[in-house]
Parts: sequence; C-alpha cells; structure tokens
Amino acid sequence: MADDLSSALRELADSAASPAPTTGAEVRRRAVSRRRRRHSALAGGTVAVVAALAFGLTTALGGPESHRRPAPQPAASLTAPTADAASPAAPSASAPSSTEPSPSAPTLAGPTPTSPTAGAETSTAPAAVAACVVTDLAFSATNEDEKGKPVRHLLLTVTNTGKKKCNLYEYPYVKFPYARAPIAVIKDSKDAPATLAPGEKAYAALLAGGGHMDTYDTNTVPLRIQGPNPGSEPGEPVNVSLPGQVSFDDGARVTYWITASGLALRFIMSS
Amino acid sequence: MTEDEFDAFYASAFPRVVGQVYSFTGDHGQAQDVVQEAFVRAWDRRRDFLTTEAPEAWIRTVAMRLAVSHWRRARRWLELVRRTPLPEHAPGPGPEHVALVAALRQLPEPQRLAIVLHHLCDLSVEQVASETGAPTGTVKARLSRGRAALAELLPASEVGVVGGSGEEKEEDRGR
Repeated sequence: MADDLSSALRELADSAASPAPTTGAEVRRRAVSRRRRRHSALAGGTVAVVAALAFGLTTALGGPESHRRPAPQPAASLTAPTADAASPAAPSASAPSSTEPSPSAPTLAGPTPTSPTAGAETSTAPAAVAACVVTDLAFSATNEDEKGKPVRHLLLTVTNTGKKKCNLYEYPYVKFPYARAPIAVIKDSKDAPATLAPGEKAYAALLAGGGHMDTYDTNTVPLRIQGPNPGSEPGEPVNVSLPGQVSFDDGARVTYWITASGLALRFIMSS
Repeated sequence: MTEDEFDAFYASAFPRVVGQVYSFTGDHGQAQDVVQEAFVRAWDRRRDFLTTEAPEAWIRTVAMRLAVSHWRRARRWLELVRRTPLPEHAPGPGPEHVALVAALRQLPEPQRLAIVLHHLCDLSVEQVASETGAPTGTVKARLSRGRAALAELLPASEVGVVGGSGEEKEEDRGR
C-alpha cells in the first residue's frame, strides 16, 4: 500500500539526513551580509533615478533657456552634458545614464521581451486613436496573494486619466536598476492593443518570481509604456508603488496589457 | 522566533529537510546546498518567514523550488558566494536504497515532487496542489501515475512497497 511507499521514502530520507554544516549564527550572518550588499545596490539605483529625474526636469523646464543657463545641479551633470544639449525637444530618455544602459540598447540575456509579431497587431488598432502618453495615465499595483503570504502575484492597473481615447501597446516595460533586461513578457498573453476611453482601465499581471536567483527587493517598480512600433524606445519610467516590499528575481514575468483583469491574472496565478 | 530559536530550528530541521530534498533530487550535495540557501533566505526575509505557521514547510518549499528551477545555476552561484565550502558529497545511497533512488529518478519531475511531498512530507493533496501550483485533479493524477511507474520500476522484492492504489489515503487526506 501507499503507506509502505511512505515508509520506504522515510527510510531513504533518514539515510540521507545530514547534520547542519554550520551554525545558525553563521546562517544569520550570511543573510545579513547579503542584505547589506543588496541595500548598497539599491542606493546606487536611487542615485541613478534621482539623476535621471533631475535631468528630465532641466530639459522640461529649460527649453532653449537651458543653453544659456547650464544646469547647476551636480546630479544632472552625472548623467548628461545638459549644457550642450543641442535640441530642446530632445527627449530626456536619450540621456545616457551612467549606471543604467539606455533601454534602446539593452544587453539582453534570457527571454527576449520584444515581440516579433507586434507590427501586424499594430495595424489592427484604430488608426485615428493616438498612443497613450504617460502623463494621461494613472498606475497602481495591488497584491493578489493572501494576507500574510509573501507578495508574488501583482496586478498592475492603468487608468486613462486624459480626455481622449488612447491606445496602449505591448506590455509594461519594467527594468530595475542594474538589471540586464526588462522583466520578460509572457508571450501567450499577447492581445490586441487596448483602446482606453477616458476613465477606462487596462491590466497586466506581474509575477515577482520566487525561488530564483538574483533577487531584488523593492517597494516601487519603474514602469514604462511602449509605443506602437515594435522595438521602439519605451518612454520615461513612472515609479509605481507596490503594496509593501516585494522580492523580485529572474523568474519574474509580466503579461501584455489586457482589458480584463481576471484574464491577465490567469497567466500567472498557477506559478 | 528569536536568534536562539532560529539557531535551534536550523540545527534540528536542516538534517530532516536535506533528507526530504535528497529523496526528490537524488543529489546529496545539491540537497545540502539548496537547504542551506533556503535557511539563509529565511533569515534574510524573516518578516515573511516569521509570520508563517509552518517554518519547516517554508524552508522545504524554498529548497524544493531551488532544486526544481535553476539548480545548476544556483549551485554555481552558491559555490561562488559561500566562503566555507560544504563538506564533500556523501557517498550515494546505501545498497538498500539504490533501487528506490534509481526508480524515483526515472519519474518525471512533477510526479516525483508530488510523490515526495505527499508520501514523505505528509502533505495533503490540497497542500501539494497549493505548493506546486497545480490543480488537485492534476496532483491526484501525478500521484497515481507516479505510484504506478514506481511499481513497475522496482524489482519484484520491493513491489509490495508500492502496490495498491492508495486511493483511500488520498480520500482521507483530501478532507
């Protein structure tokens, strides 16, 4: 009977039981030093974000004026030669950050986030509707796990807060500081671009991973939206607050933007 | 859990969980590595860990996941980061267990994991389902296929070990 299988397995497991190779204190020490390393990495990431923000501000505020008045902030000089910025219209996304490679040239490792078929999908969207711009969108993230359990399943919600319909393309482009690649998309979740009337919402499910390597603990995710052209440069990141600290690892996945929240979640809830 | 309690928990649970993970992977060195890593993560994320009602199950889940997913990478990475190498791998299974280990290794991973969690770690079918993210029906199918495969793989002297369907046990546990 199955109980015999249980006892055979127990014997096997007992024969393989081996004493702890070190002490609990040593385990705690390793955990603490790992946390310290991660925090210093996080601090570095924050510097990059602050610098990028500062640069964005100078281009946004400065316009032609920034030629005359080189940005005084030392933070801005870290990222880009603001004083020489030729065109006031140049999007600040083109500013190379010293720590994070430009998203246009990601050194991809692992699953490729871009979709080869995006071009075909794009043409199905009503041409009259413009792509959403990030300033007309509001983002939020909610926890889909039971209370008390580690947060692994998140639902990203985007609301069109503008006054016109707009199209939302592809999937949330989420790339953490120092990450080699954005969080990979779940290809099966591919859908037509979401057309959002004012006040309408779209969703994407975000799986933080679990049990994989290269963990990154954070309480915000830098999210960018993508344009209609496949492989085009994603826009500026928006920092979306998470419901508390979430540990991401390289098993993290995201779905395409989908107009049904339940459908989006279905792609990750079994993981 | 205080530091002292954690240290005592580590000393008592480590050997047991290593044996369980070994039954699943058949690799003793890896089992030690992933269990050690699971304990480090437990303290690293003790806010999550300490809220759990079953700390040993937490450790086992993390260790099994490490063993399932990226264990080759994990192993290389562990070798890089750990300062004191773990003791050399213990020799293989004793003669009385060779057949069982070999048979287990031939099962597809999901079946093997279900068998180990249900029959060794005493998880109910529902608990196995929630730990592995599979529907209960799938878990039941994995268990019965896994048992059937083991019955075929094991030599006649051990057939008694895994004969029978075990349905009653599942039903009991399912409630």
